[in-house]
Amino acid sequence: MKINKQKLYYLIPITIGKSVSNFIIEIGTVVSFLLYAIFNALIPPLYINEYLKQIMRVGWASLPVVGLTAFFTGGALALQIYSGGTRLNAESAVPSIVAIGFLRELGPVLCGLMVAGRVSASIAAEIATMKVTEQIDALTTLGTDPIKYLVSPRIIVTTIFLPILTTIGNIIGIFGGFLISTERLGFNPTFYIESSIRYIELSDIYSSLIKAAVFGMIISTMGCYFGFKASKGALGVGKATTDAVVFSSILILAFNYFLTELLFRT
Amino acid sequence: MNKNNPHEIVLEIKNLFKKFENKIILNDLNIKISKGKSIGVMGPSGTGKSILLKCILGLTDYNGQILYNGKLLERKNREILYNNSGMLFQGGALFDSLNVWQNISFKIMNNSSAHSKKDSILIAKKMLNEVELGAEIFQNMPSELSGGMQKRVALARAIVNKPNILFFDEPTTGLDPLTTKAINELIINLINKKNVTSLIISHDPLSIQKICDEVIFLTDGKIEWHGNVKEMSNSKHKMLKDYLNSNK
Repeated sequence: MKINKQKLYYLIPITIGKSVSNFIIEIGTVVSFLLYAIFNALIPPLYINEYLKQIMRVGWASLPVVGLTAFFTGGALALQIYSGGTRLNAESAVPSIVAIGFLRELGPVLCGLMVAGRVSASIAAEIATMKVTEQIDALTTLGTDPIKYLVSPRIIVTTIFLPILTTIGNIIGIFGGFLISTERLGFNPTFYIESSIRYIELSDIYSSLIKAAVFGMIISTMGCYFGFKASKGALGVGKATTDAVVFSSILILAFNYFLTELLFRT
Repeated sequence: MNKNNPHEIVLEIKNLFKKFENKIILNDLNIKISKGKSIGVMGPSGTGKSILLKCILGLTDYNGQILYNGKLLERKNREILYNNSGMLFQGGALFDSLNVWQNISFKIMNNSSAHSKKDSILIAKKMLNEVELGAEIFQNMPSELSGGMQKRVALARAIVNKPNILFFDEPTTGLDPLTTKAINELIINLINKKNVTSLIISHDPLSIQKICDEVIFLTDGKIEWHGNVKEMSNSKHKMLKDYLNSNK
């Protein structure tokens, strides 16, 4: 096949330009989608029942997943730090590293990723199914704004409840580290608790909450956005679910880096 | 079928034009629907029937004008149509997460605080009775109902706010002949009893003949034939004749 080199020179910048402009348009669409949902959450009617349903679904139902993940990660973290610490004679750093590590990084990121897998997927699947079965059109014809009814409660509840879940996850994770350290590694419980608390600063706690709130907003926005974008029946529902989880997870990790830069700049 | 004040135009479609990418779906449609009339829109699959309904209801963008009771419908004022209309979707489009009474009373519960839960259940039971379903199913979930029952519940939801115009998108698609007959009769009774104007999208000439006063035959987004339902079967229009014969 003969390739026209002159055409190729035009084709490459055009393709790159199109991809960049599509990417910028997509970001703009997501941001305006999010702002519209937040703005509408402030205007009555408020659909209180929808908020309560989401509190049960996002908050209460995610607790076991978050708790178990945090507990085992806390335990594993204590073992790893102890094992590494013995090489440097720094075993006594286990309590403070587990506590600070959990508060600053592992708590919000793990909680965010676990909830992304659970909640973002379920939001995307639910809204995408509603889209392809015309339930969202039905909402509109019944005089209800679908974004206000479906998206606003999910975004508000997830943004508020992820910091709460993360706080619970942090406590369970630190407790996991405590349990392994005292029962398996022979740490003195009083020393462990004192060492954990001594090095924790207020900034560790609020940075954890800020990160969790941002991750919560990302999770619900991605779930709702890809759900609303769905088309083409069952295939579209599957794609929306996958996209929601993949983009939520990538954005959580990316935003984690930028927030860490912002909150812990030295 | 109602024939009161035939000169009063409830819905007017002017120069409606819709295209997806490069494909023209609706090409300069002009339709007037008089008060109390039932208009059937018929045509082969993919000819733009359902898109026409979506344009009227503001569910998709379009070029042209749609007037409801003389008022130009725009994005901002679509509520005037939603508050006075009911829509029966092809698959029913009942909300999966809500039970039967919550589905039926959705409009009155979410758009006005005047109705308590008790009132809403009572209204839902009354509506179930109107669509010839037993009130005992009021707490069932949509997934527990048959296709025909789902269509009836969806119809109950469409008429709960006493609309003066009803839209039907393929009301009998996917139903067995007996249920189709029952749903057609139910629609005729409701239209007559409630004295409402209606627009019915269907590819089933038998249903159209039973329910409608007028028929619009669409092909490739254009009106090929428009006339009285009684004239339809005797029409000499070739495409319409072929379509009717293929459905026999």
